[in-house]
Amino acid sequence: MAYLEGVGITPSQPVESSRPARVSVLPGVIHPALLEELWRQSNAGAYGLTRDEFTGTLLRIGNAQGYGCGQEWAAGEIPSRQQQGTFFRSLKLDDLILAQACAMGNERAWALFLALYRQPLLRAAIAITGNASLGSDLADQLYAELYGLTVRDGERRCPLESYRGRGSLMGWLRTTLAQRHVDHHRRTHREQPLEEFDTPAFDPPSEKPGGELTVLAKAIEAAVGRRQAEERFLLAAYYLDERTLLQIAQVLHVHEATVSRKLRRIVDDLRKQVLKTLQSFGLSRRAAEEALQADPRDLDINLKKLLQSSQSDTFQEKAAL
Amino acid sequence: MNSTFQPDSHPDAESLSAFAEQALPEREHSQVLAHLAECSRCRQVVFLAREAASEFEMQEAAASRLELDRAAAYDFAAVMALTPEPMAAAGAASGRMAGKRQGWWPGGWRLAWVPAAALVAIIGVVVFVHVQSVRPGFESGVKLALNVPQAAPQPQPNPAQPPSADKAAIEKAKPAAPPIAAKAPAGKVLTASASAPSEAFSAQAAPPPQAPPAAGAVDMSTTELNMARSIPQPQGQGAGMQSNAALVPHATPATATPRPAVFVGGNSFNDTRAGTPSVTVHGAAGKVQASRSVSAGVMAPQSALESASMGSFVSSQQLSESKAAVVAAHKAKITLLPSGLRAVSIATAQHRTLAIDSSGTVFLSEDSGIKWEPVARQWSGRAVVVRIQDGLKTDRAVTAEVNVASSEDESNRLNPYSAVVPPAVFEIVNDGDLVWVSADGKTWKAK
Repeated sequence: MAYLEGVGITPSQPVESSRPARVSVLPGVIHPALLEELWRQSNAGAYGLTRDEFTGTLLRIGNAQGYGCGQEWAAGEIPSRQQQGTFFRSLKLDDLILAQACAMGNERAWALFLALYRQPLLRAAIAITGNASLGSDLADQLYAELYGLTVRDGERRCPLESYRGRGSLMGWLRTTLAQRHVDHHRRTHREQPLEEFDTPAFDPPSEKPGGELTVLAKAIEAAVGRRQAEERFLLAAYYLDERTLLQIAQVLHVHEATVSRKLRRIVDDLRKQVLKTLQSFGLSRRAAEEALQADPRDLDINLKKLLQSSQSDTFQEKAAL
Repeated sequence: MNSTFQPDSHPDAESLSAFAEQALPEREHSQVLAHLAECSRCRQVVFLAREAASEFEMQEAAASRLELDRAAAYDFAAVMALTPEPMAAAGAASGRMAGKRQGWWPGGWRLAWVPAAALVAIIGVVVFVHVQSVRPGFESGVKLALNVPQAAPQPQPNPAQPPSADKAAIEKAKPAAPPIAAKAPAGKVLTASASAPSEAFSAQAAPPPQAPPAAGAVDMSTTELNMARSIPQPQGQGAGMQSNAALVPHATPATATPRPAVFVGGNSFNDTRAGTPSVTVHGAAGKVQASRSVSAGVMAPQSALESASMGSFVSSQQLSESKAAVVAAHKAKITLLPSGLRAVSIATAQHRTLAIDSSGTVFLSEDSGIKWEPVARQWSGRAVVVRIQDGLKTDRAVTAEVNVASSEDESNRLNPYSAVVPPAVFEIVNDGDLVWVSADGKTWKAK
């Protein structure tokens, strides 16, 4: 129970009792040779997992992700040994089994988890919040969640159950911490005391922009809306979020010079496209270029809204296809 | 695929994490990227997680570097200890570092400091030994010269005895000197310059009063190597001058214009030529040592030189010459006389050089020490000191005076050796402090 000292919370029941009793029999069979190989690879025996628990965990994960076959895999279909092998070998199996063992309340797995991730998690939380005390609070809060103190529908929920081994467990933990921090910030950053609240002055209705500016705004909307996902991501990250080239490059795993080049090309393309659109609206080349010299403050355009409500489908809609 | 979403339709933590780690399939990667292009919240999450990962990687890299350094240090310690257990541990550590070790240098450049430090230490030891091998001659020479008045009495030479017998006698007398020198520190000797023995000696055998040298006069043409003993110094001078006066008897007490403590010398005792700068060196009998007689025991040589230059007409060139002279005297002290003994007192004037060995035999050289001839004994007792009679103005002394007196004489100023040089007179002092004089070094008359 050493991890509880950091959390500062005493659980109402032992960890063993929080073990989810839903290691049920799932459809599908894993080939014994592959199972043996995965057993050794994952070091599951060190956590005290039984073969049945191990097999049930693998089947649950495989079925949840369709063994990596995407839409081609129909639920209940038994994949081939090769498909199973390819899928399971692509996973971070040791991290996955550790997380699943922790979610099941395995003490030895928890001990190892704490030994491996306690300090890195705290350091990540401090790095994310930029503050030692806030970082410590954030890490402790996540520990409490990971331990399964959150009860939903009368059942303990452990976020580790949602980990499926596609990325590293440490990366998952970091992303979870960042999610918690961002969500907390978004909930609280607009809060301010009432006495400091100042009634905004009356804002007179703005004059309608001239016809040329209206055409320009439409041309820009059209040009931005036709950008690809990566290009919009680059524009949003660089111009809206004001991330550096290095930060963007680290996320995309490219060199920052590549990001710089791409951004320049995107801006050039946007300019050309806006000019072309303006010309298509009947403006001459010279008039279109003069229109581009307009003061951006005169334009009735919200680039943030424009970039983040493009013509592309939402992530959920796309993923559901 | 809906299982990857959270209720608010954002990709879940694993999808974002896998996206950042490039672990998503192409199709899902582009889906997450499209979402990130529109969702500032998920972008923020991804960037924050990525920054934390970068910081973690930097810390890990630093920690791994530290661990590698420790492992390397442990390897080195194990190798140095050459014991089985550390070697085994070092082997394990080497196994960890196997991937890092490449190239001809087995321990990486982190271990390069070991041979570098050893090299520096060796160089330091060599320099130290070299300095120590040079300096003791000067230091002990000064000490011995200062301690000479208290030194054990030398055995009386027997003129009938051959030089070898004298040599044996000197060898017997040798061990007595160092303990006395050790008992009497230089400072004590210097402060005792006004003590009773000195006064008594001065009363008995003080050299005749002579005219003090002109201000700025420097003895440039004489060389005296007095190793056997020196005459107690007169009183009333500074420490440096006292010691100098004690060592150089012809440096009579100068009240108004102290005689400069610098005797600018030639290249070496053997190389001393007529008209060239000379050096005065004092030492102990039988010791292969020389001293900077130009400086007192309480003064550093350089400071003594500086003090001399301040109180006299000594140019920077003369100072450098005096330094060279000291080095030359150091070389000269190892020269053996035809008797097989070392010179204990040497005086050079023009082309003549007179030397007394430790047995009291006087030798004359008219070719600057290349060829020596014994001088027939014309004095009583044992000759202990040979010197140039004081009061004679030498070439450079004359030149200095000329320079001071007449600045119009440019030729004299530019050519310090152009003045007429009077012949030097040698003096021999025996162990009874009686003096004999000679102009040519061969014929001696009692003074």
